[in-house]
Amino acid sequence: MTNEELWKLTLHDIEIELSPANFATWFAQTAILDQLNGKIMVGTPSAFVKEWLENKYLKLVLKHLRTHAPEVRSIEFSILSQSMLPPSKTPPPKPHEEQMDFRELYVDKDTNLNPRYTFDTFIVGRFNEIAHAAALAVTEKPGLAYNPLYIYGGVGLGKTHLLQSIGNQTRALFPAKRVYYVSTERFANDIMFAIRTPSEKEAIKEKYRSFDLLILDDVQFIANRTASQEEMFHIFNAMSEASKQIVFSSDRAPKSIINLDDRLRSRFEGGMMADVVEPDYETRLAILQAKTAGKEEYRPAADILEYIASVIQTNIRELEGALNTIVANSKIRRRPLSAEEVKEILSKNTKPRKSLSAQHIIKSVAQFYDVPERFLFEKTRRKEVVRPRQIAMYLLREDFSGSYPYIGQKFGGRDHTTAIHAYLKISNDLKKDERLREEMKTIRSHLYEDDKS
Amino acid sequence: MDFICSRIEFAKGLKLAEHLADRVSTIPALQGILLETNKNTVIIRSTDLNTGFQMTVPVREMRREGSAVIPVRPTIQLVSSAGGDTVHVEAEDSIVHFATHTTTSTLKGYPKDDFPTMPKIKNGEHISVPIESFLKAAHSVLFAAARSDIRPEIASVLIRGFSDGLIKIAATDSFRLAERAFTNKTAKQFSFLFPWRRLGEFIRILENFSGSLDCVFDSQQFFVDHQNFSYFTRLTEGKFPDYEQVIPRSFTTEVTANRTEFLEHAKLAGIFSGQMKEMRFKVYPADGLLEIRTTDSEIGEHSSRMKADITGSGLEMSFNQRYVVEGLDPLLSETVLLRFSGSGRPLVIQNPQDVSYIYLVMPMKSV
Repeated sequence: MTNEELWKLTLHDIEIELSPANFATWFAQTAILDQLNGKIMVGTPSAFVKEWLENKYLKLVLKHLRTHAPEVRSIEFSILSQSMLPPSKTPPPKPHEEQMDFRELYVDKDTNLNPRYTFDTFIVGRFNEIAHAAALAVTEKPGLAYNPLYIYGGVGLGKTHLLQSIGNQTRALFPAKRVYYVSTERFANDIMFAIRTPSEKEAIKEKYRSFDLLILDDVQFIANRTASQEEMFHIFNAMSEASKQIVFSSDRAPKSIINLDDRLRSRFEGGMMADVVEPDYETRLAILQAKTAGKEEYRPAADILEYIASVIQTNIRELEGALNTIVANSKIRRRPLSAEEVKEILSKNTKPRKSLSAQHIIKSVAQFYDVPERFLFEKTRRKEVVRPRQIAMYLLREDFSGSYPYIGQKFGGRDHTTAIHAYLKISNDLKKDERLREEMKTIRSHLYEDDKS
Repeated sequence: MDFICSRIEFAKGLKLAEHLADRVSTIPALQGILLETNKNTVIIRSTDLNTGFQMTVPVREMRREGSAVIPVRPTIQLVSSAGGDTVHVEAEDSIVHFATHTTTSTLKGYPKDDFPTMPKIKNGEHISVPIESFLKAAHSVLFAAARSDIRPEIASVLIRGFSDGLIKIAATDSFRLAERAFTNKTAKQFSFLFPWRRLGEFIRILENFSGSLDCVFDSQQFFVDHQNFSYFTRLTEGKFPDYEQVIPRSFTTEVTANRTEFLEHAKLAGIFSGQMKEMRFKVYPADGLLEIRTTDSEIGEHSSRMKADITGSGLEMSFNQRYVVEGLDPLLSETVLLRFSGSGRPLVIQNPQDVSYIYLVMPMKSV
């Protein structure tokens, strides 16, 4: 008979002997915690109940316990830890969402994880689906699926979110497993401290080895720290021999980290490597929609979200920043913003582009599509010329801020309506045509890269 | 039971005990208050099974020892309103008679058999603390504790003792943080979490007494013994976040101003701070000027300016008006030091002459 069954039977008998109120008051939330050599430990919800049971009901409880378990000789009462009592849930009175909080205070002391980062709030798109799938696989079979898991990609693309989610999910699925998240910088400092302080050395190494899942963020910072790399290698070896999971993140692939010990590099590469790239337009839009879901009051119109998604291409953090700026502005003005206002605000807040000349833009476009530059100015409607011409017009408008008459003039004295038509056409196509977006990205990267030199 | 005692003292004990009686208990007696004679005193006790309070009232004339459990509301109304210097209490089974020099009343009590005793804490830590210091510190931080039980560790006030005798009391709801320190005669290292609602009740009790508290506690419970009363409560188990890491160490702008003047300006701004409670600070170092602005789309706009000593760079930041005002109140000093550490970073509010109180408030996102 389990402790639970024994207590259930005993309570059933006690209930018959007591008034319902007495029974409910003194026996609610009690449980057998353990039994050992005829001694039964009974947990109670409070000190008052504990003393009451000890003083008033000890004999009664013992008598009924014995009818089901004759070997019982004595009872010891204790107070249940709060984690075993049903939690009372009053929803927090939420201050306005603009109110910022101390993020550090949410961090769990044992795991160093922020419980707010979960897979539920992680948006998956083509740009990160492999990393996401690998992360999920790791949480299901820690140490067995992909070990180590190495996730890399640029800043603000959700690597930390993914890493923290792995930790939180593993904790939820396997409460007994010891999970620890640490930035590589802090990890390296710990190791340095261990090396300098021989008395602490074993304790610190033991601390890291004892984790079932160790998550190291921004592992590129280990470069140049030769002594730390040596110790790190030994810790990882010990962990992987014991089938303990390690997860890394980095801003670049192992082969691109300079001054990295070859042994470590091959460790990093030895499991699963997954990269996170910049999100595509659809995903950027999906992120914006997810971020504004349920906040109808100040939710920007669909075309505004589309505009933000098309303009902010670098990373998710900037995307969120842009959205926050728009929402905050519309709150201050107490009305939705027009497309023009949004454009103006974003142009102020996004990084200024390198200055370009009209000539430069036209040249780059012509080069990219491999058409002679002069064709763009001629009055030809050949398909292979029309498209590049429209793209050049679009770029002159979007990146050079040329006026429509100016743009028309530039291309062999065309009317300004032609320029407007070209601009609208390309803007529209950009939303639908993945290939065009890729092309635009490449043209732009040439444009701005060349400008640097 | 049969005794005569001071009516005022008796009424005071009943009122303090009332807050802890369990009005929804399934056992009627727990909704009431226990009276129990003990030598030349009468003990008044109440409990909701998590917290308990008992007070000792001296008896002027003890005629017969005994005990009774009395209903809270009618007894308090009766004893507080009936005039006279003394009250005569006589109980037979569960019937209780009260008499003053002009009134006599009979109340139905509860079977006294069903009343719990105050628990004892074995093997607990002991400390002794002056009520005055404890009260001041608890008052200074209680308002900053989280009101939701979702995270019980911050819906509690952290009380810590250090080996040099320092005691630090801290609370945070993750949007702001308050900490008050004081030096105690008994030096001991300890740490426990007092649930904020319980601490509020405890403060109300302490306000009626002076002298010092003998506290005993372990990780689960806390007991206080005082010559006139004793108090027991369950503590919060868990770990308070490592809050010291959020206190900024360097500042971009420091503003020293007259506290009363600043508080008045901040309160005034509250009229226009609207639902968002947003209050915007602008600091002009060259002019030595601090400007406060609030806007409510329905009511209108408001701004005020005051002279201040400013070091560092100019800035513009928004804060919750109520959070700022609440943090200023416990300061009690003539001047206030506002220390900003950049956008997205907390504002630190302090007394420039005294580091025993520190208050941090996170800004609001703004354009």
